[in-house]
Amino acid sequence: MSTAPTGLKNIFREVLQTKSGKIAIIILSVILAMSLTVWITGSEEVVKNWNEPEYWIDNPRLAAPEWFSWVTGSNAPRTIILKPEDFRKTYSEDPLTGQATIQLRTRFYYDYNDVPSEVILKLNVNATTRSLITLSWTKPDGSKLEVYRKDVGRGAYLIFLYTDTDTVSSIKSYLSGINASPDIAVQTVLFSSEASLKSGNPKILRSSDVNPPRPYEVIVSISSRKEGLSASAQLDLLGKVHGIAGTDNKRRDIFIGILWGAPVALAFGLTAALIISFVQTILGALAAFYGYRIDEVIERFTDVYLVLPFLSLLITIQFIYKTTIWTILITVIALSIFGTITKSTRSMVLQVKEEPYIEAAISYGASKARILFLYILPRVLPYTFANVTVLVPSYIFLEASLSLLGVGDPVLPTWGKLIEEAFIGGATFYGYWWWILIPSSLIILVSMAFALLWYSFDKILNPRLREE
Amino acid sequence: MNDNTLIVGKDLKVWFGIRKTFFSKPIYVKAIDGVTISIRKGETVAVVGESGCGKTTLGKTLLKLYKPTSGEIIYDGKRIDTLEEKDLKWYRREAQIIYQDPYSSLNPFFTVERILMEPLIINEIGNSIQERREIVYRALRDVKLEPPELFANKYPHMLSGGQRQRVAIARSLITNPRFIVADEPVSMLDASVRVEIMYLLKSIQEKYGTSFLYITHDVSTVKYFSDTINIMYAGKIVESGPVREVLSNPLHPYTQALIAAIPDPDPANRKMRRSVPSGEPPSLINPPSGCRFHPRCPYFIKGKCEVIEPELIEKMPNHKVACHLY
Amino acid sequence: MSIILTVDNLKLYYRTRRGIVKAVNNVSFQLERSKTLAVVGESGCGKSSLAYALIRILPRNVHEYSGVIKIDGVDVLKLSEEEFRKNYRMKKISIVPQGAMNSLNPVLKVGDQLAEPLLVHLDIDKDEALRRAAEVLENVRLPKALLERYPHELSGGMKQRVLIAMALIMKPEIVILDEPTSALDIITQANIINFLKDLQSEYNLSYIFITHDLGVASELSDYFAVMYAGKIAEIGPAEDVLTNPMHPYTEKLLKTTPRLRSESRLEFIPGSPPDLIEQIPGCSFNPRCPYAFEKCRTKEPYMIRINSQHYAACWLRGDEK
Repeated sequence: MSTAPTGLKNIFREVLQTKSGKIAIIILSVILAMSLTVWITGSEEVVKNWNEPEYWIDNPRLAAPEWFSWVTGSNAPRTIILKPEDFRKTYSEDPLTGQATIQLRTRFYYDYNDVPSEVILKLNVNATTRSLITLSWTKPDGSKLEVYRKDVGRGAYLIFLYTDTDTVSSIKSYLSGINASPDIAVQTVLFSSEASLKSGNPKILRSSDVNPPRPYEVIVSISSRKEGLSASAQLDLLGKVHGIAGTDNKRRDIFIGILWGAPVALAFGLTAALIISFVQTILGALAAFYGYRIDEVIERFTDVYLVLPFLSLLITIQFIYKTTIWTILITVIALSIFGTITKSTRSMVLQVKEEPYIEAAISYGASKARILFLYILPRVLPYTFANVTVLVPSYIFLEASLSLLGVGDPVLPTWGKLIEEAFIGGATFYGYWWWILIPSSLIILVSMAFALLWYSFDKILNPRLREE
Repeated sequence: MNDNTLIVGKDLKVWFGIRKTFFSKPIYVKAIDGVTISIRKGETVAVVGESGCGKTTLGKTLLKLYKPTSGEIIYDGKRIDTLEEKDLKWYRREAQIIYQDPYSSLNPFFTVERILMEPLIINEIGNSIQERREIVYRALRDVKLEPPELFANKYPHMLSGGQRQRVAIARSLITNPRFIVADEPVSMLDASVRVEIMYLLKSIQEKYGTSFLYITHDVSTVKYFSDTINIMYAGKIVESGPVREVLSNPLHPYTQALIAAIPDPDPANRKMRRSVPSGEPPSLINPPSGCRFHPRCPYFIKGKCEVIEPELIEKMPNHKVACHLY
Repeated sequence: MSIILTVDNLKLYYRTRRGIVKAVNNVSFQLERSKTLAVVGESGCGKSSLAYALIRILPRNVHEYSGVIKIDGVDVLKLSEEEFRKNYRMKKISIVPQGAMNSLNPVLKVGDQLAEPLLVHLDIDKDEALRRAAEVLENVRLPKALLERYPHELSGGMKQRVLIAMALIMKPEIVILDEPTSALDIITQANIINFLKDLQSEYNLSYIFITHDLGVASELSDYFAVMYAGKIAEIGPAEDVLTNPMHPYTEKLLKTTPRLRSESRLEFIPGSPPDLIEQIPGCSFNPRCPYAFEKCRTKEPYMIRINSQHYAACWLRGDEK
């Protein structure tokens, strides 16, 4: 009794039965789902926003992933954003002077073990003349300080409280006022108990450190002439951890970067692998089947292509022309029309060609083309698919390598690009491990998935590994 | 040659050229080196010989699967040896082949129905799928694979060797050919199945009047399914004639040796030694000079047999032999 | 008349994806010194598996391997793999495998391949091994020059003889011949058979001759064992089995053999041999047997005695064990 022929449908069914096949399919489905999400929710946005700093302004810079704080138990601060609607507005007028004051009050509970990385005040002021802005800060231990006082015109303002000069001097005078060392960072001052500041050992003050727990209170006052006076504020307390994958130096959520890079990686890898495998297969089959001159020509071309320094050429071309990813794809395909798959298909077809049922087809009048496409190619295709599987990760890797070297697509957020920016941003030097490790892990994961898939293909296709 | 002849091969030579290196002159494997054979309508002609004697090459050359190096092939009065493939489309309906190996002569990816429909589709027989399916079912019934609907949907690997060979026979019949080359059709089948298949072939011949070229190395099967027998040795025919005649009265020493070598199941066999010529069939690149059998022949005549090649002469009515003894 | 090999209730089952293959299913027989036993049957009856069971060359997926194999009184099945390898395989019992064309290593010279078992088993050096290899080549009527040749330079008949030489090089007493002539031409076949006969009388070898060809088997065999579906259907002296078969399968098998020298009409057996996974209740042959009756469908027959040496597993023959 002989074993069943390996038609494509059978193979896929069998793959799903193997352990490695199952794991591979799971991983790949996840990546595919990620890609589809991006694709559905609109991919043009991606490219635009990735390079637009304002889109990311509410994220902390270089924040580690949130789960990291669970793992280490450090309870690092997450971002707290107090939006305009979180502020209670009170309006008062002085009929004598015609001055009006808008007071925006908000409060929040803070229970993290560390101070925020940044404190940012966004202010929108509409007034006919200049306005006076003050920001007062009350901590759970009751201590109060004035953080900001300035005279501004109308407009929208983004005040980075930890670097703003007026704030810094306000803080300094507060510190000297309580006899504490003046060289303490703004965020630390804002979030430490006054007592600990005085003692020279700033310790973070959590809302729960007081009994009963009390929140922090922030009051923003805007005073100006009452005509047309309106204002709104947003207070960002940016954490030290963010999201599933952290953020980079441009405040971009790396997880979103990965999500957006998934379809690119898959599409590039799959398209390159599929087209190249198929073209090489057909050329190999043609060479073996028609023989003589066609065989010679294809064989020689293949030999030349095999000798070409593929990567060097690609890098050089990219360096000179700096093209987008789809042009990279076309170049890669053009440089891979002939290759090892041509040779292996050729030897397979040479063998299949000798089988009696092929000669029988000639005897009942089948044309050569018919024999090639209907009889021989189906025999060879399962192996081509196995090849596709093993090639996809190499092309994903190739694209990542090109990006890493700085010659990839200049605009798209691909996984390789993320790693490149990490290197340039000093991630290895400063220890921003998530920035490098997470995109790399994904490339490795996808490669592993394809390798597992190929492994189960091999188990099925390689007769010697079959246990029967 | 008369009106009753279906196909004739005249003085056919098929030499395969091989090159040892890119630059050396080609050497030739002389698979068939001057063979004349004719088959009448409705006749079964057997070609018998050891492996490597050229019998399979002869069959395939008559089907124009190999191009003859020289010689003529005349089918139904038309010369076909000079025709190119594109002019032979009609011939592909007329002449078919059954292979020895039932395991590799059927496309493993096609169902039985598809395998049988291919020749119909290619030769544009039948005007609709329904019509073609009817023809396929009729062929399956002819080879006793019934019910045809059941077998039509199976793949070759689901069938036994005997069943597969029946499908191969059905495939050879389906275009209504007048000439079928059966290349060792039963040698890879079990003993109990062989006889069935041979009787099947015989009944097909009786029903449709097809001519067969029956190629085999097993002389004892010939009398069950052949009218004429040809013995081949080293690319040439050494004896030919009606089956009963040749088997009961073998003239050529090689034929005599072949027959003497065949054991029937007889317990007395173990008590005796068979006298057979020693040695093996010669290489076809450099066959022995003169009569090719001379190095092994018990009746070797020095000075004659290694010098002159014997002609095929008609020693008795219809019984030809190529040997200097006659 | 001494018995050199006794096999009792030998079982060899394989595990496959589709189920358990009972390739050798309770086989028992005896072999006399210097005699030949033919094991005949169609493809798939288990005869090749029997050969490998006797010489203990087993694949990985063995499910059961049990019974008694007594060579010269010693039950070798009870020996460990190591002991069997050192003392029995190739030394007392050897095998000429099927498919002469492919059994020789194409990248080694003939001499090296012949010498290998000697170097592995005996404590001799290469020169001594090659000397013995030359000796055994002479025994099989081949020129010493062949030691330097590669397998592809040899003809089919020569290769077969080299394989026989390899099986004889350690001077065993029992040689299993697995289809030794099926890939050869008729005339070469007759030559090899003659040659095997000479070897048998010269060296007192006992042969187990496995083949599907009853004619060739009759050329050499004193006794016949007919196998069907993993079991022995009939066993006895050649005269009895071939001229007076007692099992319907043997009878039919003889009738399907084309004969050159007689005019009898050939018959065929309808249906096909069962595959060794499905177990047919009662007698395995009953679905194809023209004489089957009720008992055949329910009770599996044991070996029923016809005379002192002739047994058949068929209810038609009574029920005397």
